[in-house]
Formats: sequence, structure tokens, C-alpha cells
Amino acid sequence: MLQSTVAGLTSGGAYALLGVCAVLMYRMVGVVHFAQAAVATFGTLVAAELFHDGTPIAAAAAIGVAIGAGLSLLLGAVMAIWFAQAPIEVRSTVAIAMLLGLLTVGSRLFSGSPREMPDPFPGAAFRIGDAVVTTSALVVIAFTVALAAGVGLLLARTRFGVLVRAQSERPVTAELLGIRVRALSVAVWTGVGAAATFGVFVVAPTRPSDFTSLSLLILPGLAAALIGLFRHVWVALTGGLAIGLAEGLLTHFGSVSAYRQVIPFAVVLVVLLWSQRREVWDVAR
Amino acid sequence: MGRRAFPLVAAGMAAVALALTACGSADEEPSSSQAATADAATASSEQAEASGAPIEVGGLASLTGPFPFPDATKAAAAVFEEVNAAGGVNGHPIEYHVEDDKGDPAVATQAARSLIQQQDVVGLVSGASLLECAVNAPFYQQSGTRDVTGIGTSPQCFSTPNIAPVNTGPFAGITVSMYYASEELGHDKVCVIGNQPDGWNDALTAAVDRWSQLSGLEPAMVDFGLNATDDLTPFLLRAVKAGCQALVLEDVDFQTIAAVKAVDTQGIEGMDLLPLTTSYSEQVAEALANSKAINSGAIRLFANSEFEPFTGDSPANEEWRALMEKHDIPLTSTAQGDYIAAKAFIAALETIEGEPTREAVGEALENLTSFETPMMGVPYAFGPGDAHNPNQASKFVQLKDGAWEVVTPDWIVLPQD
Repeated sequence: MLQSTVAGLTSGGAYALLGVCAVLMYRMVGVVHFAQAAVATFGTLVAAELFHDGTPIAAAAAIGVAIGAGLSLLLGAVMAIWFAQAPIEVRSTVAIAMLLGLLTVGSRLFSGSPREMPDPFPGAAFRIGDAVVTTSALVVIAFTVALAAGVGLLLARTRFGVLVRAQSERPVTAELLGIRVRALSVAVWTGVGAAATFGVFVVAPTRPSDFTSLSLLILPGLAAALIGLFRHVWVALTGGLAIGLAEGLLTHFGSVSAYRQVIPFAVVLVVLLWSQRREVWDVAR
Repeated sequence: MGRRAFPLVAAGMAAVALALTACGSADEEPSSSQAATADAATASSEQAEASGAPIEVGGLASLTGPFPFPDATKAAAAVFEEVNAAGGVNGHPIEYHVEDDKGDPAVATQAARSLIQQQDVVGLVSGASLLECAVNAPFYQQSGTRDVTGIGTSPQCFSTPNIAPVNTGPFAGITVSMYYASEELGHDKVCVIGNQPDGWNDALTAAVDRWSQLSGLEPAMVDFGLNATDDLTPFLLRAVKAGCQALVLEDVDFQTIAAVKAVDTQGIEGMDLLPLTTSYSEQVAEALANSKAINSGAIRLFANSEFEPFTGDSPANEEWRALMEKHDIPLTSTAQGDYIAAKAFIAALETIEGEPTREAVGEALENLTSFETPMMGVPYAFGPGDAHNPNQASKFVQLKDGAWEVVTPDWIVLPQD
């Protein structure tokens, strides 16, 4: 049982990373970024193709991350140019459209033959009893923690952070004050895109690596972000890990194993009910 | 601010889930349904040897869509082209109309109606599709049309009166793989995990039960709850816990690769993995060439080949290989299925003495109870009956040093109960 649960750690790490990215995107540029994992998958599969054609793994990874970042930059630019003043619902709907577009293009480009996924951190890091903790799980989790801590410091302590907060909370005021709002938000898109691509690149070898499957990592990722109420990075991180571990645990029990994919949806439902529990009267009135 | 996101996320997740089911329609591009008819038709008019009225034959396959088989029906078209060049069937050229179902049930329904009602085809030689049988089986029955399918997938391909696939299929595939594991590899603890598309449950369970009856053993673990996006590690760990000596994987090639990766990472030893025939491809061999577990012999990876294994240079495949190379068609098991289907269909046509009408073709196929081909372990048969799964055999290949090696020179044939 411990074994199966711990085996969920790699998935959990990926969910946590995507959850943290979702919270960051929501807080910093005001969008529920449905296409995050698809962007990252795009970069990852480009890296896999390069690796397959003989590029050394580090170079392939670097180019893949750059592609993920570049694609994210493009999407960020679209958002900043045409949907800068749009309400968050509209911006998030645009993100869904981006996801569908990427799914179509991605499954066309990368469809067909399965490839060996380059594994930058192969093997087991250590064992707890029988249970193997993989190196890639550790790397992703450590990276997510560093990302959460780093962005926290960046927002709180640096001038860049203050500017980002300003453009996120009062975009028009910030723009009137002479802050280059568009450039800032595109920079955030690019940075988060790079981080997500790195994460997906690291966990991809352990999963079925077709375009759609990897892009769908966003669903548990968003569930994790929701556990953090799209506000608390650390709660989202913990939530992502918890979802992964719970999936691993449920697989252990044959009878309920089939329902484990429901977890993210169940989590969304419970968090929705819980977070709205005091608002019933407001709505009723 | 955070709370505005909640309904949005819920709605968005639902939208994404919906969109995925609709992917087929988002994915498709306008494709000419007539494209593949040209070859056969031109060949016949140029040769002018086949002078009779053309025999209209239809074919449905997922050439595009979410699970595309872009090369499906090409091999059948090549066979028909050769036949036409040699004078057709009893002087009649064959005109092969191929429709793309785009992996979309609505399109599959329309395409079948267009073929049967407008093109007035006398029978079908269909290619690979995940939904063609499920959607159209009742209509075939109603219209008296019979379909010799190259690669059947869903349960309806193997359990309805008017469809008789050439391939072993996933269900007999599970049974024969488990049978090979217990009878040939000598394992008592045989397990199976796999995906379960809608409506597959009964057929999957029946396949495992059939093995139990044949072997007198109970499976040590069965879980058809795998999903396309799953990390396979927890499943494999459960299999280890259950003591599985052989694990049959009813999966797709991407999942097989992920499973072997998980075996490598977890250091699992002493288990035989037997994915179904979908993993038997050059690409999978190449992708797993560096697997520690396979190369060190910690685990063995087998797959069933539903036809004479195409990776070797077996003489049984000689004619097929020559035709594929001539027409520049990739050497895959899909092409083998289409080729045999077309050959069997022609064998039936040749027995017809009068006009080759739909009824006459139906009768000829009912009488086709033994079509011999060295590419299959048992003769192909359409025959009468309410369900057809004639191919009850497989050969097994094992991955060694990055290449597939045939380990059963003789066919493993499931005993008939």
C-alpha cells in the first residue's frame, strides 16, 4: 500500500507544479490558464524529437524549454494585445480556445509513432521500505518548491515584483503611471511557460507520452490550484501532491481503482461547496 | 478575487472534457472520400481487359480523426488494382470506394449510408476504425451488406452477423496471450490490466473467462480500469504484490512504453509483460531499445502478432511484401489485415456465377468457410452464424536487443470449445 501511494508522488509532483503555475498565472496576469500543460507538452515533445535525432539531452531540454517559453510568449502577447481589458471570464475562455487549438495542432504534429522520451533524471532516488521514490519526482517537487518560494520573494521584495502586482491588481492605473503593462504580463507568461515545460519534460517519461494525455495533466493541476483557492501557492502545492498520492493509494484497491480519475472533479466540487458555504444567504437574497 | 475563478474552473474542466470527445470534429480536415477509388478505376479503364460492369465495393476506415489509421485500406486498394490489371473478377473490374469515418460516429453513420444506398456497393472491405462496427453493425444487417474487415477493434466487430474481421482482435488477443503465458511460458499467476472503452466490459470479461476455462486457472489480478492518461507505476506495483508472473497489457503503444519505463525505475524483476499486437511495431522496438530491465533480462517483453510476423523475412509474407513495396505502403499489421481481407473478398466474388449483386455476394461470403492463407494461423472464414471471430491464432514475438524476434515458429491456436 505504501508502495502504491509513494508511486503517486511523481504524478503528484507534476500536479503540484501545474497547480502552482495556475495560481501564479491567475494572480499575476489574471487568467485561468487551461492551455498551460499543452504549451509545456509542445515544448517537451519538440525536445523528444530533437533527442531522438541525436541532440544531447541537455541541449534538447534547453531548446524544448525555450520553445515552451516562446509559445507561451506568443499566447501571452495575444492576450496582452487583444484581451488586456477583458474580464477574467473572457480571458480564461480564450485560454480554453488556445488549449483546443494546441490539442488539434499538437496531435497532428506529434501523432503516430511513439518515441522514447528522454529521461533527464532516471532511476530511483531512494527507497522507503519497498517503496521507490524516483529521482524525477524529487526533482519536480524541489523545483516546484523553489518556484513557489522564488516567486514569493520576487513579488514581495523586488521592484519588478511590485510592478507585476501593480499591473495585476490595477492594470489601468499602472498603465497611466507609465508602467509597461503589456511587456510585464508577457514576461510573466514566458517565465511560467518555461517553468511548466521543464516540469512536464521531467515527468513525461513515466507517463503515456502522447500529446493529448500529457496536455490533460492540466485537469488535476487546476484542481490543485483550486485547493489553494487560486491564491495560496503553498496550499496548491500541497494539494497537488495530495491528489497524486491519493490516486496512487486508490489504485492499490482494485474495487475503487476505476474511480480514481474522479478525484480532481470531486476535489473541485468539495472545495466549491466549502468555499461558498457562507454565501448561501447572499445568493438567496 | 479568487472566488471568481471557481465556477470558471468547473465550467472550463467540463468544457475541456467535452471538447475531447469532440476532438474528432475539431481535428478533421476536408478529405475527399473518393480519393482511394481512383487507383482501381483508372487501372481498369486503362487495361480495358476487365470489360464487364464494375463491381462496386465499399470500405470504411478512420483515415483521420483522434485515433487515425492513415494507411488503412491502402493495401486492399492495391490488391484490387492488381486484380483489375489482370482482367478483373470474371471480367468485371472492381471499383473500390473508400470513406473516412474521421473517428466520428455521425460521420461513420453517414458514410455507411452513402456507400450502401448511393454507391450501391455489393459488400464492404473495411479498414481499421475504433467505431465503425459499433455504429454500423445494425445497418449492415438491415441492408443485407457484409463487411470483411481488415482490422476489427470493438466488440461489435466480433459479435454481429454481418461483420467478420480478419484479425485476431483485442478479445481473442487477450485470451491467446494469457493462454501463451500459462501453457507455453508455464506461468500459473497470469494477470491482465487494460483500458475499457465504453461497451467493452462484457467482451473483456468474457475473454478472461475463456482463458480460465481453457487453462483451468484463475487470473491472479484483473483490472480494466486503466486510463489513457494514467501513470502505470501503481498498477505494476499491484501486479508485483499479486505475484503476477505474466502481465497481459490490453493497452496502446504509448502505455506499453510508459509501463516498461516504470519497470526500469521501480526495479521490477522476473515478470513477463505481454502487450497486445498494437505494441508490435518498429517504433516501439526502437523506443525500448535502451530499457535496462529488458536488456538485462530482468523482465521479458512479448507481443502477439495476429498475422505472420511482418518484421522478419518470412516466405509466408513474400507476395504481400512485394505488393506493398510496389505500391509504397508501409509494412504493418494493418496492411496485412487489409490485404488478406481483400484477397478473401475476391475469393468469394470468384465463386459467384451470375450477376455479383449484394445478395449474391452475401451468399458467397456465407459459403466462404475456409480461405487458406499462409499469413494466418487458421483459415479465414466468413460463413453463416451470428458472430464471427475466425482468426483464433497468433504468433509471439519477443523484444531482444531493440528488435522483435519470433519466438513461436508455430502458431499458437486457441482450442475451440
